[in-house]
Amino acid sequence: MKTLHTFLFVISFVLLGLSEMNAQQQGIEVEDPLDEVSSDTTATRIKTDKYGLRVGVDLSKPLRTLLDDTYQGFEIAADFRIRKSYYLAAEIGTESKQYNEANFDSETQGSYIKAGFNYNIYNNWAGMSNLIYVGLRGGFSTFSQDLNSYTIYTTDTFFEPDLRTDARSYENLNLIWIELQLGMQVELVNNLYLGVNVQLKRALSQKEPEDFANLFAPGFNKVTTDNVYGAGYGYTLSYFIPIFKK
Amino acid sequence: MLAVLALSLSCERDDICASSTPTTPQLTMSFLDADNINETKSLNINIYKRDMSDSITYTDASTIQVPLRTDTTATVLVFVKNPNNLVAAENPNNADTLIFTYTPQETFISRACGYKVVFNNLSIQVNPGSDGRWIDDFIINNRTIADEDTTHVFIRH
Repeated sequence: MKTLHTFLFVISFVLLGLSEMNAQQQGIEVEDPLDEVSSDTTATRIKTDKYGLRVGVDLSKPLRTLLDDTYQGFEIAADFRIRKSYYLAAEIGTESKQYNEANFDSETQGSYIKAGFNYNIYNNWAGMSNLIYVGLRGGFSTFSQDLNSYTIYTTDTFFEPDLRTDARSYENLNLIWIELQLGMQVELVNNLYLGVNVQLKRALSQKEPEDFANLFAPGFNKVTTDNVYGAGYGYTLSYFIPIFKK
Repeated sequence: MLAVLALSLSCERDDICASSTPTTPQLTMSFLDADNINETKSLNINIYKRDMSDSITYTDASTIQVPLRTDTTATVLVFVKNPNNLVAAENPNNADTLIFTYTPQETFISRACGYKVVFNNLSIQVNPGSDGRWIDDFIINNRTIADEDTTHVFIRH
């Protein structure tokens, strides 16, 4: 399972790296004609920039649901262009994750919302609207955790392991974080976009059980002791609904 | 990118319970000379489960660690001094049964280690059995067994 994660993670970076290289090459090619256009300030500009709402699903979560028995997840992602390079962006989703560790067996389930904006750093050809973006999000996750069974940790083996099966449920837990996203959206065919992103998260606050710890937070991923950082990725397939042109 | 990779790798330590982490403590017992309370007196001792099915052996030890059951409020152990040595100068193969009673308290340690139990309100009862007592007296130094740093119980023999 860990190998799968690492694999997807590395692929994310490779894809992102390749796309950025392509983007740079394209950027160099278009530099000259763009300069000519911008110097000709009196010419009437044709409205080619499409503004509208892009709505999609994160493909990585259903895929991971299929491959990983301990995981279930679904996410809807959307963004709305408000200025030339700025997009309001949000994701809502639901996730559950089981941990069958040596000392306990637990399951976390809940939902999350992330909201913020994306800044497009990619200079498109006229009429195109691909994105390579840097994004910022605030994230809020609300979830519950079930502790199904646990074994008291001892270093001696003189007595039988003390396995406790009195299941407990911890409700109304939450975690708040900020998130930096690096990603891209590529128009595959008319108004259909494929997106990929990596996410670096930093937890700001969390509500955790008194006699247990938050192991996972939907949207944030694995929560670790004494470490406020988390990471994630996404592959989105989305449809762009054009509303007006500028 | 490297920073993210480093972060994801650093999470690994969360999966292993470090041996330096205090987990369920064992009872620490020290042996003193019955004639001189200021002097330690080491011995050979076997500690058996009540049904004699399993044992822990200490040789020429003045301080020992004794595990307590976490799933109940009492542990019964048979302490045999000079085990299988029928010609020992004092207390040859002598068994005394000790009944430790306490209040187990469950505490969460961490993701990697899970839960531990600490023991409160320790009290001890000694049953010398048919072969007489080898334990002359015991002193409970600390009724709360939360760590293994100090001696909880002194036994004079």
